[in-house]
Amino acid sequence: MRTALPATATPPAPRLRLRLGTAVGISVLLSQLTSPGLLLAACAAGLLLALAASANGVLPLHSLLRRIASVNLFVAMLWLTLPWALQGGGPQWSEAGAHHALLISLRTNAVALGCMALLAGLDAFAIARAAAGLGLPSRLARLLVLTVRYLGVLDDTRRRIDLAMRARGFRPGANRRTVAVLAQQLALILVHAMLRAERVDLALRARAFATAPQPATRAPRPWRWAAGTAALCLGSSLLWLLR
Amino acid sequence: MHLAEGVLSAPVLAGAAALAAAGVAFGLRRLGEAQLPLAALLGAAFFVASTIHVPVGVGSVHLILNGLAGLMLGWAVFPVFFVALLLQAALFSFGGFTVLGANLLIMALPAVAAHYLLRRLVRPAEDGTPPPRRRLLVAGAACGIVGIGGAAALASLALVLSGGHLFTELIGLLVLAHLPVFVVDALISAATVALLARMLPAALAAVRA
Repeated sequence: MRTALPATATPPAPRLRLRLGTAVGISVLLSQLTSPGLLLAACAAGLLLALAASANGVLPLHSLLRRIASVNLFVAMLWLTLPWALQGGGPQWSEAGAHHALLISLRTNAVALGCMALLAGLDAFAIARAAAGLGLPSRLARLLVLTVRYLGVLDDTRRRIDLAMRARGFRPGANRRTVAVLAQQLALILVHAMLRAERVDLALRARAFATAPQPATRAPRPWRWAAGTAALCLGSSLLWLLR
Repeated sequence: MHLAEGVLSAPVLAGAAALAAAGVAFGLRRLGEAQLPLAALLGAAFFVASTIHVPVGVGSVHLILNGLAGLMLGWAVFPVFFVALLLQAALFSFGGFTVLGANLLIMALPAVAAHYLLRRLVRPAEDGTPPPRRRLLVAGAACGIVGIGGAAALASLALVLSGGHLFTELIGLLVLAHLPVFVVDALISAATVALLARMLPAALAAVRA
């Protein structure tokens, strides 16, 4: 897994928060647009910004192309199904289905390109800092930061195991041996993670780390969740019906 | 299994986001302060494991392992998967921010179901004897079946609620495309659970109640 993008100076925290917040904002906005013209303009703007980021060296072109391709795998599935109505004589072209597929394709690409442009050059640590600064509950923010910290460690473990397996002549294929070897690899990664967690726990205790529960993260009472969920669903349903 | 941005309707997105937020809050409540490093390490381990590709025919599939993660983490799988999906959306454009709640429900709810359905099968006996290998293999395979099968069912439900009959063929294609993942995930989860019981019995004994 490549979580580390080319070394770039990490932007200051307010700018990180602004970039991630804007990416979330445009995702919400663009995912509800129904005008093909506006969505096409958003796609073009996103592509230009992403290409500019690529020209500046913060988003490698091969990475940009790979991400566009992966986003459009789902779009390809849409075009294979939505515009075709199965009737008595076989599949028939449906204008309504094609329009729907076009809208979804434009939305998917506009959101993806916009987010790629806005978040270009940010690595996992920067994303974690930005997300933590955007009001995540403190325990969730700590979980995010710790996960990002351990990703590199466990990815190194995976690479070492992978190298050792290949050095012993393992070549993956669609066979029983591959299942056994990959299960070993996965079990080793999990064991490594659990042993490391044990060491972290010992180290924290040795430093007299207080493990008493902190009141920072408390789930609201069930009726508040129910009321909030109902209000959110009602509001978004009204918006959806009125658009 | 990620749904892309722009597919689901606003009410489905909002409802899923609210339910996912409730799941994350409940998961965080169950996750003690001292267990954060373990949850983060297991989350990172499953994130890394999801990059392992298994050759199938002319292509390859990557592991999802949500059932196995659910078995080991219980409700903590909600915050752990939230972190993973957030990073995947931001760094790799898999899924997206608006659809994060729906994707989280799709991945985490079957994982929690796997935890409650299968945890008894993998717990060692009172005297520390690990369960029989056959039972471990069944539990591991069931992790893949419940995890991927449940995710496919929930993704289909989200699509039906958003577009009705419009998405019928898409759902069929989506399920068909995930059949190899379903088989591979079940096989590898089965072998992994059996191996974990031999390599580090405490790993399964620590399965959260």
